[in-house]
Amino acid sequence: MTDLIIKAEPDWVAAAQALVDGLNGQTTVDGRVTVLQRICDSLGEALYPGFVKLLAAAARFGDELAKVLVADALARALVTDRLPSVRLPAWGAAAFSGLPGMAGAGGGLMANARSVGPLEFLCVWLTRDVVGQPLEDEAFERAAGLVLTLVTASPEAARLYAGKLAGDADNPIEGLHNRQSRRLVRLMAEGLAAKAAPADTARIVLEAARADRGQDRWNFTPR
Amino acid sequence: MNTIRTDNASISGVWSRDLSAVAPQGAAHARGSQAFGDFSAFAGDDARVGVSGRLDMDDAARAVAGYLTEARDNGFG
Repeated sequence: MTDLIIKAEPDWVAAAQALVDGLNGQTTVDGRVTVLQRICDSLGEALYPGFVKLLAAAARFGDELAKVLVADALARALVTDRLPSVRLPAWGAAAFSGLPGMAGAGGGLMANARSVGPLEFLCVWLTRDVVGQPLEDEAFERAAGLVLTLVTASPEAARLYAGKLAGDADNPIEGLHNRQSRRLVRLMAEGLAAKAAPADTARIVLEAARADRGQDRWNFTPR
Repeated sequence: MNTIRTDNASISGVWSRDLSAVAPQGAAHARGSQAFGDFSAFAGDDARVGVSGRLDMDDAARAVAGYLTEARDNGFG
């Protein structure tokens, strides 16, 4: 049996072009949402970070029209609750500590799982190791800045995503976020709502995460 | 009821290297970490991806997977 893994030298430009060509091959925005889902599903949940990086590549290498095409599809996905997502364990579900199919993920049962989209995923990953390796600060800043750039290519996507993130952050029983990731998601929502520069929002979120780490170093209260 | 755990690293640790390329066991985590965190391929500021071609959704999904992934024997069967 075989697993899919990311190549040693993946071609992000060609993959981003294939994503855009796939979206452009559809005549309806709902069809474009299906393309996003199909690509996300074809990579599989264990490679969801690769899907997030594909979105980042579309932001980095795409011209304005290409970015708008992807962002409009994301906006429609948000409206129809079809945002390509991954299941992550609810906070405190220690037996289910990673992406489905990963070592330590409880054999893939994921009974206490929550679905998260790309921006929430980056916030959660920055605060707890959900893919078997920590997310480096610089990688977060770059990836989050690019995905935010993509989302803001469509004002509607930015508005909708800001609302979703704010709703997640304000929901005390959603079960995914701990205090740290909830704060990061809220800051990201505020940045999107305020139409702040994506790089600034990514930096502010990262600085908040760093501040939390510094605070927790001296905090012996169980989280 | 008997439970067979499959989260033992020696059995299913291949999953934890989901972002890595084919690599010896010991090097896998470093390669995986580099795979997401390495944005060297994103250098520059040129826009090279435009709205020109068309692919149907199955072809697009296959193309993306082909550019980004490869199959690796997971040791089962």
